[in-house]
Amino acid sequence: MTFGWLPTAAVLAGLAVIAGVLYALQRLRVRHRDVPVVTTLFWKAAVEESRARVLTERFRHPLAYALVLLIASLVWLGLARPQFGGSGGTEHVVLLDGSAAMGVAGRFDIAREAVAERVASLPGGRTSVVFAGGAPRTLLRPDEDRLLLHGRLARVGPEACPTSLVAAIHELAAGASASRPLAVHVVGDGSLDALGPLPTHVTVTRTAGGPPALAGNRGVTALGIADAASGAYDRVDVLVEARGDGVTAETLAIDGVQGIVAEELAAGDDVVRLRFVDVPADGRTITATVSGGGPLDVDDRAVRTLPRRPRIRVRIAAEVGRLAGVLAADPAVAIVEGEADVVVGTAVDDAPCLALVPESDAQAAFVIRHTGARGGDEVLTETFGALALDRVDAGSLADAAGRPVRLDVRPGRARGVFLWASLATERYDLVHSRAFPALVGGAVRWLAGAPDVIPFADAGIPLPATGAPGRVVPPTAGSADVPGAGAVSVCLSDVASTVGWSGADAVAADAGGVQLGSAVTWMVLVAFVLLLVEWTLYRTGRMP
Amino acid sequence: MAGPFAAGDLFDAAFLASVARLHIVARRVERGGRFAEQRSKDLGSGIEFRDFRPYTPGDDFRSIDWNIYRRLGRVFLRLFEELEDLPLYLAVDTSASAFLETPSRARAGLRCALALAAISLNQHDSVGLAAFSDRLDVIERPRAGKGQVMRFAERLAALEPGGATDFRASFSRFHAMNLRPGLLVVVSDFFDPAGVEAVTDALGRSRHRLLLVQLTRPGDRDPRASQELTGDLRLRDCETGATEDVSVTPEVLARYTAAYDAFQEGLTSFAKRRHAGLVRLDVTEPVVPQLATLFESGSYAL
Repeated sequence: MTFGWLPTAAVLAGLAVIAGVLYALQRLRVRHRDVPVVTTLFWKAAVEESRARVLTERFRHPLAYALVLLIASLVWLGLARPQFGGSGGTEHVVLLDGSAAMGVAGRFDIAREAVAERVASLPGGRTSVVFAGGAPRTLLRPDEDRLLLHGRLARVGPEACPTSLVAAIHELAAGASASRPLAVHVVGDGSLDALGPLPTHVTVTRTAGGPPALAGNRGVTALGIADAASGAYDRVDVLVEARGDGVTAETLAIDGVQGIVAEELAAGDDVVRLRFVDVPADGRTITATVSGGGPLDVDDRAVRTLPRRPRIRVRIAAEVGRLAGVLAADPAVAIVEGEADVVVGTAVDDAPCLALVPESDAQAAFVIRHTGARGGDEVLTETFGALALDRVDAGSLADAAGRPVRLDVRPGRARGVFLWASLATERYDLVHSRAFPALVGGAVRWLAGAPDVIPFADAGIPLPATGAPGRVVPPTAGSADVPGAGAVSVCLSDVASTVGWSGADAVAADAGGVQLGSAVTWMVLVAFVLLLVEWTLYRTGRMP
Repeated sequence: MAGPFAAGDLFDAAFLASVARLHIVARRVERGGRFAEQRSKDLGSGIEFRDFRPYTPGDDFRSIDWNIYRRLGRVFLRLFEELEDLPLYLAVDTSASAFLETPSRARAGLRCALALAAISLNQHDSVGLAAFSDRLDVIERPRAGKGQVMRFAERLAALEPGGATDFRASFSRFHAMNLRPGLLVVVSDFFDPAGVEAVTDALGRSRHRLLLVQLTRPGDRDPRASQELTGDLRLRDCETGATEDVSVTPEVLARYTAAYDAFQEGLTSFAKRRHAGLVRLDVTEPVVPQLATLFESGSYAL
């Protein structure tokens, strides 16, 4: 047995203190009744003989002491909130599934109650509650009062995200060890098929929940975009998939692709997959909606906003050598005379430019000018791949130049890429390498700030590399602000959330624990009854 | 000044009637019914023949034994035993403890004193009355005559509670009075705070014959008879005010009883040594029947 409020040692020490205090009070409490007598002659003789043992004889009422001690102990133990069940030093985590499927048929409310019941049966001081929603978060720490749990459970609900149980369990398992074993009690419907083997000191059981009640449900399970297969820079291809009970192309409505014929990639077996090619990348919104979606609503609709990616207007301001041919062949580039997005050939301070500088005037072969919002290292990391500088054979360039080939980064009012003008000539083999058009195209795109096509943005799935530093994982469906990409529409797009799972659970059912909440109630009730008994005995004069 | 008892209540008609019956019982006893009898060494004109002696001029003619003259021709006188009266000195304990309980020991003691006084007065003995506590006060100098009974009743009823019991102080004064040898009847519970030694020491110096009338209660030996004497007590001596904190346990009760028995044994041993009478009266029972057994047994020694 452990205690939810105090360590066991403190509870035992408290009991000892209570016993000692009551004992001292009992012994000091001797109340003499004044009685006049004709003589104390014989009493004096009787008492004097026993005076040496008065200390032990003064404790006269062991039964009364035992009764009072029992009452005080019950109250003290009740305050300490005894906990039964659980073994040794095992840490317990009650993991509540907060995925979208939990919002069906009130299953999350059932899960809340299951969490509260399970927590009550687990040892205090070693039990925590984690909510596995879009972003796992702790609802109750082991050192917190369990009374806080009810309010916190009321403030969480199922989120528009796939189940994150597996990821949460792996994260929890990483903190466990043989000396601190972990028991995870899953409450919810998420599948654990992908859990895989766990260390022996980690056990996972399902306390409540199972295959979600998604019969008759259908929804959008994929909405992705990609660079147009046709090569058109200002176009994208869009892929839409819907799954579920009775889904057909007729039940799937796509908004934003009017006039574009869909290519049916798959149909039948409760799945529909359509592709729309060369959809203008003009920032339009593509909305895929499934009619008659079923019990789960959040997967009935998926929205993606296409990037706004017109052709880059480039003005060639000077002799640029072999650059001109590369630019002309780039489908993303539109050579213009007037206003341009990028100026090529000369350096411009307040506009994006791809400038060619005399080799004799520049120490560095490549100079990246950035606007200063970020540090140089970040810019370098970003542009190294974007400008295909990783493909440039710097060694041969250095050999040809007879000096080191450097890459510099410096701030400025506008983006800029500065190259040795000689790099665009036959002097160097760069113009013959595959890196040269990639370098030029990448530079133009980077200078223009052309948005990357994010193929998909699904809740709980890391966004494909967007050029932004760090890994971006949208927690839930909706809108996510991606550095470098701006606001991105996020879809649920989770097959498991739409069609669920069936069959045997990957983990065993929880055996449950002793209902101990009543233990405290019983202790207090018994203490109260004993108090009444003591009062009655005192009033009837049968107890001192 | 009036005492705590009214004479009419203390010596009511029923009590006086019982005293009269006690008087009759006392008269039936052999040797004239005197419980305070003493043989005199004097040869006088009593009714008991003792001896002959030759007539000398001046002797009383009425004492000549004419039978001896007719037979022997000589004149002899018949001599008879002179019976003296024995003064009765009643010393009644009026210490504070005698008046504490209900019924009080004083009530029984005063009734006992009056009963004994009535018997002696009816037998033409003189009776004196004293009250003692921390000192002894003479209430009535020795008087004789039946008519003194009511006087004694009034004096006894008027006695007030005194201080603490002090046998040594009280009876040293009594002994200093140098009274005619008689019978000293001490009516008391004999609970001197100084112990039985103080009692025996004080009375042992008396040149009178002694009759000790001990006023007792059933709970004197066994405090369990009293519902009050249980648990944790602060016992307050009603005479001295001294307190004794006691937690009454079977062990304490056993030691108490042993101490009481030792006290009683001391008193009994003293009475035997002094050939004194020792009567124990239960104050919760009528006094006169208990005194009657004293006379019917022909002896007042227990």
